[in-house]
Amino acid sequence: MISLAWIAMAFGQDAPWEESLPGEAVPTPTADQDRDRWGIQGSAIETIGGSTGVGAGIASVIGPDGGTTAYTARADVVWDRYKVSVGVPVALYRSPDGPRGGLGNLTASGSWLAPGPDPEWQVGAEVTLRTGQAYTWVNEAHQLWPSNGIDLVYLRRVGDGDLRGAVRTGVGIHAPSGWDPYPDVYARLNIAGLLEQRVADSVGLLGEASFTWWDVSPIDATAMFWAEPSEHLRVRSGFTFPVASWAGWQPARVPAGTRESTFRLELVARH
Amino acid sequence: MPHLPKAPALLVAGVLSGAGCAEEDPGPRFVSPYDGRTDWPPEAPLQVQLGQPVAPEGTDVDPELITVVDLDVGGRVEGEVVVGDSALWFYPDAPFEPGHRFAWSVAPPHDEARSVHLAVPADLTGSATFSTAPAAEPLGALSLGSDICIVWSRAVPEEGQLPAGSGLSIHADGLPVRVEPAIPAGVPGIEPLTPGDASLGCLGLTDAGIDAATIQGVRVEGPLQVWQLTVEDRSAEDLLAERHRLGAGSEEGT
Repeated sequence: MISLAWIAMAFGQDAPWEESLPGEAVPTPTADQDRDRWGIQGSAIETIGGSTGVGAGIASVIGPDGGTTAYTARADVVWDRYKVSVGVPVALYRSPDGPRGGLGNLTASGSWLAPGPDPEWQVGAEVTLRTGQAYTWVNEAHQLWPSNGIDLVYLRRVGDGDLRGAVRTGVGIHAPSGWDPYPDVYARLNIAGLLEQRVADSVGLLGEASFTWWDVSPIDATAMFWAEPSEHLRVRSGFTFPVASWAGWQPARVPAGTRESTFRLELVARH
Repeated sequence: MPHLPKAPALLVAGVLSGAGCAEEDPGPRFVSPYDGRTDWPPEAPLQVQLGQPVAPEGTDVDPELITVVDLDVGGRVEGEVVVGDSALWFYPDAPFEPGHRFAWSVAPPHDEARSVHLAVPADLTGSATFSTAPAAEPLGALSLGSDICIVWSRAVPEEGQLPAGSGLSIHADGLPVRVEPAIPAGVPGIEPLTPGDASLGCLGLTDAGIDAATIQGVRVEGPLQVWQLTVEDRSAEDLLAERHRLGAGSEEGT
């Protein structure tokens, strides 16, 4: 009889073997809920970790050799230890007949994240698909100029807390439209590192350096700041300085000198 | 580390298979009309054949890349520079004025930063003249075996013969000679817009009792102009190729 009574009680509860405590229930945290929503977010370095979100940005080359502006929309979906990102840029650039516009290349990436709310590493593949006719570039060879390609990317977080960093290594192969100064096909090796410093609750600074070959701008240095006007919104702005181009070390026929810099402005919303 | 997914590996194969396999041997490069051409069709565009595609079709080109000046009345001829398949074209807004002489120039391209760089070979740049007038003009006197021949600046006319129809008289070392009927001349490998756009006529030296080996110069007298030509030991194809700026397709561009 006692057993029958216990079984009857058990059917009346969700988990009869757990002890019930008085008070409001506290939900068990999941990896997604516990994750740093911003992750470590670079310029040439993709976001490590982070949560699902969307973003839009402007990268405008200013100076005598400028005149190209890329408007980029991007979406990231993070689920458990997987992340899928899609981005597409639209370019406005100058030609002998005046300003010209065009769609850049679609980029889609799939990444696998290390366990934990702040993944130590992230590995993935980024695919570039030719979708437009924008024969121009900002700082990356494969973003606008019509091309197909794939890169395998490994990202690693360094440090923790308010001052932390990240490194990126990538290797890929690309087949652009081979008009001068682009080759018909090129291998791409990329090494980049960044440091970010949170200087207040909602303000931080970012410094980044990258080396890429083959690239139209082989060495870039980026300095940005960010501010978070709300919990889910981050605004970033800064400049990328094409150091190698200034020294004349780039495949395009341009004179050496500080003839260009790239102004960046981004708005990112994260879940 | 995860296993390398199959999809990226397949994509790499796709990227590689699509790259580099469409390479074609570059064709000849030249300009047309050649320097000194007469009887140029007024509605025909000017051509800079580059040997291989150098930019996507429809690319905006520096309008100063090809310029044309009317030498009879002065001033620029307005027109549009267009990138075609392996060639740059100058299309005049209105047909070239008939009976006029023109100068045209191919300039080294001025590249916009962050744009397609036009690889125009350096030996295609420069200036030349052409005329829409039908008159034949001598481009050169050539020693061809036992003959001395004149290369004329236009195709063999359908009616009449060169140079009789042009009112020209020819003297070899001071002695008047006749010119045999002209035959078409051209350069193998060049496909100009107008077929047979030059012609070749040899001098009737035997009739005049002259030994070709002794001829140093030929004098061509016209109603308005006189040409004093030095006899050159080369072929008509060689002379025309030079005036077309004919070159191989593999040299460095500008």
